[in-house]
Amino acid sequence: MAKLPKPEELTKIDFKPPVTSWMDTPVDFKPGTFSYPGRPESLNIIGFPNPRQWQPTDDDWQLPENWKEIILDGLRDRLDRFRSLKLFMDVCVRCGACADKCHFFLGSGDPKNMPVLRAELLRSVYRKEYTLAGKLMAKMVGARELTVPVLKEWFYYFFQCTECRRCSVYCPYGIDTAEITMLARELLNLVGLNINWVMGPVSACYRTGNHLGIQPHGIVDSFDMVVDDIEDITGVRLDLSYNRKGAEILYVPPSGDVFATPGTYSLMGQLMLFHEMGLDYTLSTYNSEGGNFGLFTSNEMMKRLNAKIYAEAQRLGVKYIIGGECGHMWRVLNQYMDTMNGPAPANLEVPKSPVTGTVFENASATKMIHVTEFTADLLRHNKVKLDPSRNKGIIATYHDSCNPARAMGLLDEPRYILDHCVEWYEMPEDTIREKTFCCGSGAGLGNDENMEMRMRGGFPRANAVKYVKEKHGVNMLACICAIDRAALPALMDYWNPGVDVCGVHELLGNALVMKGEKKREENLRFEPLQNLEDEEA
Amino acid sequence: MGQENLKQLMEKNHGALLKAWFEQVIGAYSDEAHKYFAKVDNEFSNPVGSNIYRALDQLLAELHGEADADALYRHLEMIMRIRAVQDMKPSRAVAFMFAFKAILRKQFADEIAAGKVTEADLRDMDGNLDTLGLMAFDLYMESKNLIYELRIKQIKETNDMLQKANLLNESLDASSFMRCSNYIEE
Repeated sequence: MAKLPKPEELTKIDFKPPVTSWMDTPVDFKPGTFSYPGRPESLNIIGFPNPRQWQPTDDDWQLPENWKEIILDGLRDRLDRFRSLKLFMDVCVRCGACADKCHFFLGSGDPKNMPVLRAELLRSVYRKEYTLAGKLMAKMVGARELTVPVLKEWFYYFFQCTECRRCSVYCPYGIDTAEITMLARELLNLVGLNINWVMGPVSACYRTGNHLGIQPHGIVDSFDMVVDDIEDITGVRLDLSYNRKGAEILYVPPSGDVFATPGTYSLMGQLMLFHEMGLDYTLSTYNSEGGNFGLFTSNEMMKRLNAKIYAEAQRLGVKYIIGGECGHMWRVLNQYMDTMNGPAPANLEVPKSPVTGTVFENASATKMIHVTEFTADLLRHNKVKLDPSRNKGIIATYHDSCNPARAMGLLDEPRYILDHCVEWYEMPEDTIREKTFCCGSGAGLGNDENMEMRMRGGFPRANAVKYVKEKHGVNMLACICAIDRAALPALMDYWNPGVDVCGVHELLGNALVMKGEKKREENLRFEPLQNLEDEEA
Repeated sequence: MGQENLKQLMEKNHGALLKAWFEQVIGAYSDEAHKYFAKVDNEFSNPVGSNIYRALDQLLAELHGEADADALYRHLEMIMRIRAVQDMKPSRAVAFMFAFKAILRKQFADEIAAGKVTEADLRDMDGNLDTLGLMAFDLYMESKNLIYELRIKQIKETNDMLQKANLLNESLDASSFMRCSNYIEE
């Protein structure tokens, strides 16, 4: 029988956790810190291996009998095909520059969340199998056998990386740790290890063109609702077109903005602006998703899902494409699309603003520009009439969404838009621009079951928001990513209650003065405008 | 004089007590984390360490000052928000409050032996720390509840969105919801 400690004895407890080497510390799957596995139905749709019902807390993960051979063959194949992977496996000198840059490490203190150690999970197996030193001296050189516990560790930690690439900014060798995670997830997928929050959207997107699995008539219904709301607020009725051949521009938003608040408000702002500028654009009910969860699955899946962008642009015969306020979508579009599915179809031209005549030469390869580039250019040329007083009461800050910031250097355009629309303040230097902190929910981790881990990983971002909230009274966190808009509200509710989340174009839409509009009394959220309330008072 | 004496001593030794207390708290993390959490000069590159350090500093000032309940609650809140999302048992999350009793006794061992700090003083301070320990537990539970609420909110919002899009049929997410409820029951 164990003796109950007296209160004073409790204080004598040694609070230090037992010290074991990282290689000998197995993963403990606790609810709240991992994501549920992909459903077999989703895997069947895209022809992914080993569909089955299972849970990470199960002892037996129902792996294929030759799982080890599959993984090692898969690794060998990828080492042959991708020189970058081979380089990333060999070149790290474990300098530690990345160690304290990961938001999951900063929030948890779990050493395996240090990017160097996360990569080491894969590297240790690589050394054992493919280097002489690893074969001969194993543990001495950080090499180890691939076993089921190692595989479980991979699953836990590679689905605990948001592929945000903050660590890569600090790596003197430029190791792209997100690509290591991507490759590790590819390997895990070979034996059926994946998560539902990724595989659900991937299979839905493969069937219908968007993450939710909404069919063309549902897409039109949703846009109709958005158009109705705009009319209620502004008195202006927008006339949208779908799948219209011969339009100049194809506009592709992330589907999250079509179906969920606060993204819909940002979409409203964009559609209002396009209307006001008389843009000749069309929407596609097939190419109804800018986002691409294939990025979080495998490069082949990413390519399959991305193919629709150019296919639809070709079918409709547009001149170029404008993409919406999405995050990871832009890593795919800016860094991978041209290689995967390029060159762009011959009907596409280098994007040129029909309003200002600006040619976006930065997009001469992809023929696709980010909506904030388009809008910032309009503002630069004084083409937009704005009444920023309609945003009175909103004090904003700007969260650089990881991928637009780090994967395409989109840093100043969103800020330029905010400058014209709203009172706003920067967060501290180490937490913005290319050093921005992730929301903690990217790369498919924004599901509800992973909430505790998300709050942990999002803390560094929330902490910087807290600073400007206390210093400047910030009550709105603006961003240009649909995952951010889905994930950050919960993060703010936990760490900074009273701070709301919006897209940059929501604030623009609030301020936008439209021809023929009625007197605006409400913002895009149907909340009374504060400037009018002040006038009345 | 009694209570005044201990409080004055604590105020005079604020730095040493804070250092020992902070060390106790961050000692609960792994060696690697301990190394980084100990660097409190940049609150943005080390949010956990610097927030805990600042909160302990303020708690300590209240303990040897006014001991204002609202202020103590506010300072404790940040620490407990952090610890509620970290990988530790509730007992460990709140233990630092009780562990401070031992820190006090160690710091003032000579004064206690010499009778400068009375038993009554110590009992009063212990009482305050017990109250704070219970307050910490309240805050820990409040934070955990908030996480569950946020989780339910997301499930409901997803549900509403699917319903709006006419997608809430038998095949879509029923099994996911079942699995969610299985977890909650466990």
